[in-house]
Amino acid sequence: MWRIPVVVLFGGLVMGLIGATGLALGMGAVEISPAQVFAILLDHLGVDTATGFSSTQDAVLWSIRLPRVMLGIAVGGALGVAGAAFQGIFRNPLADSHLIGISSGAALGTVVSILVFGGVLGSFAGPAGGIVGGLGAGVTVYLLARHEGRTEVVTLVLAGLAVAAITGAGASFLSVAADDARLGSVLFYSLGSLAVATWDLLWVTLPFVAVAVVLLPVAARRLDLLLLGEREAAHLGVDVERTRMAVVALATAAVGASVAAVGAIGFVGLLVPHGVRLVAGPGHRVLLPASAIGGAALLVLTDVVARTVALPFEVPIGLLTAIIGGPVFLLLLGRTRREHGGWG
Amino acid sequence: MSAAAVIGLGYRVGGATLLDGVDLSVAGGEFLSVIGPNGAGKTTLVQLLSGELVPTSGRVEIGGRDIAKMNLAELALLRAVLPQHHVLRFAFRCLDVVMMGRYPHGGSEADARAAADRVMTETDTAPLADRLYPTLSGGEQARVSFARVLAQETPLVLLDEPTGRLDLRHQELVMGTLRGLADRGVAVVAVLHDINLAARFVDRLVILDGGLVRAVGTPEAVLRPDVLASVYGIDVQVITHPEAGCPLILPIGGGRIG
Repeated sequence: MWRIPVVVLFGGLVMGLIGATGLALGMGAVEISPAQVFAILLDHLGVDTATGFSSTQDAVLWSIRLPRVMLGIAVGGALGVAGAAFQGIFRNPLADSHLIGISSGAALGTVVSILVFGGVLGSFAGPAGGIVGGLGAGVTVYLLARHEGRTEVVTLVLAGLAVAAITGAGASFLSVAADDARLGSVLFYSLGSLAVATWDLLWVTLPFVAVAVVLLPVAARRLDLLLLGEREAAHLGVDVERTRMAVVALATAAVGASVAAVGAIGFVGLLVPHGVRLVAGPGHRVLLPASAIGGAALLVLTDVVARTVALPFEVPIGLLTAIIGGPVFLLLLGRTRREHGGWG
Repeated sequence: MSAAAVIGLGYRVGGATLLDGVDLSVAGGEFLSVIGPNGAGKTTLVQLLSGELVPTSGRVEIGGRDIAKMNLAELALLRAVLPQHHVLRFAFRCLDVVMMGRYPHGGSEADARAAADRVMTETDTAPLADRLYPTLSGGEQARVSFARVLAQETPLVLLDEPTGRLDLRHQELVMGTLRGLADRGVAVVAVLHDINLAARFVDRLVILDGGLVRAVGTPEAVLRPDVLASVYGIDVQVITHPEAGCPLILPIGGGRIG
């Protein structure tokens, strides 16, 4: 059985993230060379360099691309780490925030919150609504899938599908019917886009993501034990209910704030943790941080493709993640069946 | 002092009484086996003893203390539990699975590794250490789970059918390992279906039937044709094991209805 060393895994992921970030900062309608990228960044830190750059390049990099890349890192990290956490807590490698209805619930919560509380809460109305909506959807699906102390895999996925359909339709209907400029287009919540990125949007999203990325690994060992089974984890001293509540709350907060910021982007939370498990095993001490870094790199890279592949138009990023994610999801189903007879 | 005791233990659910007024105790160094027909309440007894179920009457004491007043972390240092079914479907190495048994002790990775190596050698699972748990056969999974339970190193070990899916050699190995644990002072409680296997290794047998204790005592005292006939509904002959000297059950009549 082949597994790559942890150092190599993290080294590769960090290099991938740095590479994706470099590409994302340099590529686009306005070309900025790597040297110019450094020069502009240093200039904003008050350091002068010999490399010349135009004021257009400066504006594009500092006000458009940098917040966009940073938001991509935050959202990708959130989706990756939350996907890994949901899969662990539900003991189901198919439990992605998209699939179990949390993303669509967050979208509906965001739309409702912006329309109702936008005046009072300002820019926090989106994230707050996203988190509440995500939690509502998550708890609903979870309670539907619970039966005699077990979480039924099939019911979880089916209930998630239904809740996602209902809340997704609700979010789309409201954004059409309300015709409110604050909401953006209908496609925004179902396919997502990082084009909305600003420094302000980054600052209201980042705290929820950072808390999840930092605190979820604290529960890593307990998540490992939960994979043995809920009874077995309890026999080993894990407070299963408390762990579950804390993990779901943290992961949902990160996903909810992300959906509020850039819409619901699917498959990142499914692909990245699965890829990490394939090369490094299912242990959460490696899986959670690696999924955060991997998710960030994947989303930043996908966003580069989304905004450069069909210039001057932008392809919705959720479309690209679905194009890659769909087939990989099918491979995952096939592999699971070959290995241990599927999930019944 | 007993390692574990149940006092007036009862469990009712949905109008059915699964266990009723059970009084039992097991001492350190004692190997106790619970036998009885399907639906007798054996698994319920293990679940109540482990704290997984909360009794509807009576109480469970481990180390002289009521387990209702203990938290999960304390309990995890006092008793280990091997359930009947294993649900792990993620591709952990078997070594990782066994090391999970060390979680309650909170020691270093190296301590966990050393303890895991020790119990995997003892249970003949060392050759499986690098294999992925979901790719093992049912019997191999059961043996690795058994090793995980031993790695917890608790003064009380509860097992629900530890030999259920094992081949003959590994049945002997598991029973021998449990006998060895008891000889080193651990209290062992195992639900077993194979009465003859139990009779060769255990100190005392408990026969449960319909949620009630029908007999408790040494295999010689408990394994009588009349008791077994009334509990299992079949006629048996009890002879003495030619080598081990313990009772040996030979069924002679077909199953009766009613």
